[in-house]
Formats: sequence, structure tokens, C-alpha cells
Amino acid sequence: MTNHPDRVIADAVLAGERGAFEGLVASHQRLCWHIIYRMVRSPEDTRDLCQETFLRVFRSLHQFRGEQGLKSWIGRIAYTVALRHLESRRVPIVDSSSEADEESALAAYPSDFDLEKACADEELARYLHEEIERLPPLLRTLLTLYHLDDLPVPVIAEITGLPAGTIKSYLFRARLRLRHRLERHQR
Amino acid sequence: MTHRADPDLSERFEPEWQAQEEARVRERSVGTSEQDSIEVKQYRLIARELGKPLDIEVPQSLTRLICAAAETETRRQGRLLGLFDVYALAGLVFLSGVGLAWYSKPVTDALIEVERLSMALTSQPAVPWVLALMACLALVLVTTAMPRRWSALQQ
Repeated sequence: MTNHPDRVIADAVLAGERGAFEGLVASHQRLCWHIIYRMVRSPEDTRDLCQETFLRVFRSLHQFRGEQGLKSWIGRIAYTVALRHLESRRVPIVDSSSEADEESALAAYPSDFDLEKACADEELARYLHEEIERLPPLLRTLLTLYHLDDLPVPVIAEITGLPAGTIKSYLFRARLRLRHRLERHQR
Repeated sequence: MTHRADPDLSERFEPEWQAQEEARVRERSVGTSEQDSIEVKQYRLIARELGKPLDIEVPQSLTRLICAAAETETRRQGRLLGLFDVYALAGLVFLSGVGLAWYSKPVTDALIEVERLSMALTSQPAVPWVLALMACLALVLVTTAMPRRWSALQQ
């Protein structure tokens, strides 16, 4: 594992090489921003928590063993920092949706849907955007990591510490809920 | 990515999960939606919206802010380590003085015993080597570790 690129980067930072830490921050700040901003939603809090995340990375990089990628390792720290922030404010990260809610969502059969027209509909895009924002923090974050950051489920599992099955279940429920709202909006 | 959603998720939801995943893949391939089912078309719209950048992305100044904070932390740690070294060295000197004052006879006796054993076994004196080893260790400590700590202290 000594020649693994992540190990090389970590060793360079630990050796105090000029620009190494800056490079590490530049490579992973987007992921941290996405995780934290999707969880807490406030840009000011996100900036502070990103800074806290990278300071923790800086302090504990000697503990990085390279079993998982640096991306997952840093993402996990960012997720934990954001989670603690929400817990301190008593913000629930998931809501309690039951299987019955999903059954009712499935029961709404669509009549017709013109994708090209819908994509050109700015009002519809805005509505969908608002509905995404209304999702609980964890669901928003998982959707962003899966769709925007294009991370595979096992990597998201490493970041969040959740089982892969649970992540798939949350992704399923979140997208079904969005589709249900879309359907209701178009009626 | 057409794996099953979750062993815990009811099989009734399987077609819906497949539609969600198909929409994600189809949206990436930028294909037309003519052959897509209505579910896939709706999920494609959702996937498209989810794939857009966030309304507020990473600020330009974030890297600089983080690096400045890390640099401040390094300096602070350096100062703390420097102070720790000063106190540790002072403590060592103090303890050595006290120890020598109280236990000079046992130390001398131990050295005599080492010398006696060495002479009996090898017919060579050992005490000069023991003292030389201790002096080397002290020299290494003073010439390598301390200047590093002191330079951190000066920053």
C-alpha cells in the first residue's frame, strides 16, 4: 500500500511538503462541501464545518492507514462533523415514512409525461428543486452523493457508515417520493 | 447498476427501483426518451435535476482559509511542544540533580560492580564505554531534537 496514490499524498502532507496539504484540500473540498451543505443547508455553517473537517483531517492524518480511499476517509469525517452539528441542534436527519406511504405513492398511476417539455418547463424544475430541498438531510445528501458526485453505493456506505442495503432503500424512497410529488403537481 | 434495491425492501418495489436505475443510466447516456416508459421519463427528469450543481458551490477562498487555519494550528502546536521540551528538560535536570545527591553511592557502587564483572569476564574496563554511550545519547538529543523544537518555538 506504500505506493498507493492516496498514501503518497498522505505521506507528503505528514512530511510537511510545500503545497501538499493545499493539494489535498483542493482535491476533496467539493465532496466535503456537498456532504455538509446538503446536511446543514446554511452556507455559513457549511464553510465553518468544512474548515473544521479539514483541520481534523490535518490533525489525524497519521491515523490514515489506507485501507479505504482518502476520499471515503475524508468524506466520513465531513459526514460526522455535519451529523454532530445537526444533533446539537436537534434536527432529525430522516423522517419516519412507512411502507404504506410508498404503496400509496406507487398507486398513483401516471397518464402521460412529455420529458422534453417537462425539461423546458422552468416552473416545474423550480418545483422539483424545492421538493428536493424539503427532503430530510440524510436523503438529500445520499441523492447528491449518488447523482451529482456519482459515487457508488459502497463508497457512500463507507462515508456514512450505513449498510449498503439501507442506502439503497433510502435512495429508493427519496426518488419515489419525488416522483409522487411530481405526479401530484402535474395533475 | 441494476442491482436489487435491498433485501429488506419488498419485492413489490423492485420494478420501481429498476425504473429509477434505468432512468439514471439513460440520463447519462443522453439518449432520447422515445422508448422510455412514463416512470422512466419522470425519473429521468428527477435524475437530471439531481445531477445539476448545487445552488451554492464551494467558495473560491475556501482552500486559502483552510490552509491558513492549518498553518496557525501548526505554529500553535510547535509553541506548545517547545514549551513542553523546556519543562521536560528542566525537570530532567532537576531530577538528575536530586537523584545524584540521594543515590550517588548506589550509582557509584553499580558502576564499580559493572567494572568488576567486565574485568572478570573480558579483562577489559566497561565503565568508560557506558559513560560514552550515555554521552552520545545526550549529544544526539541536544543536537537533533532540541533545535527542531526551538525553531518551532521561534516561528
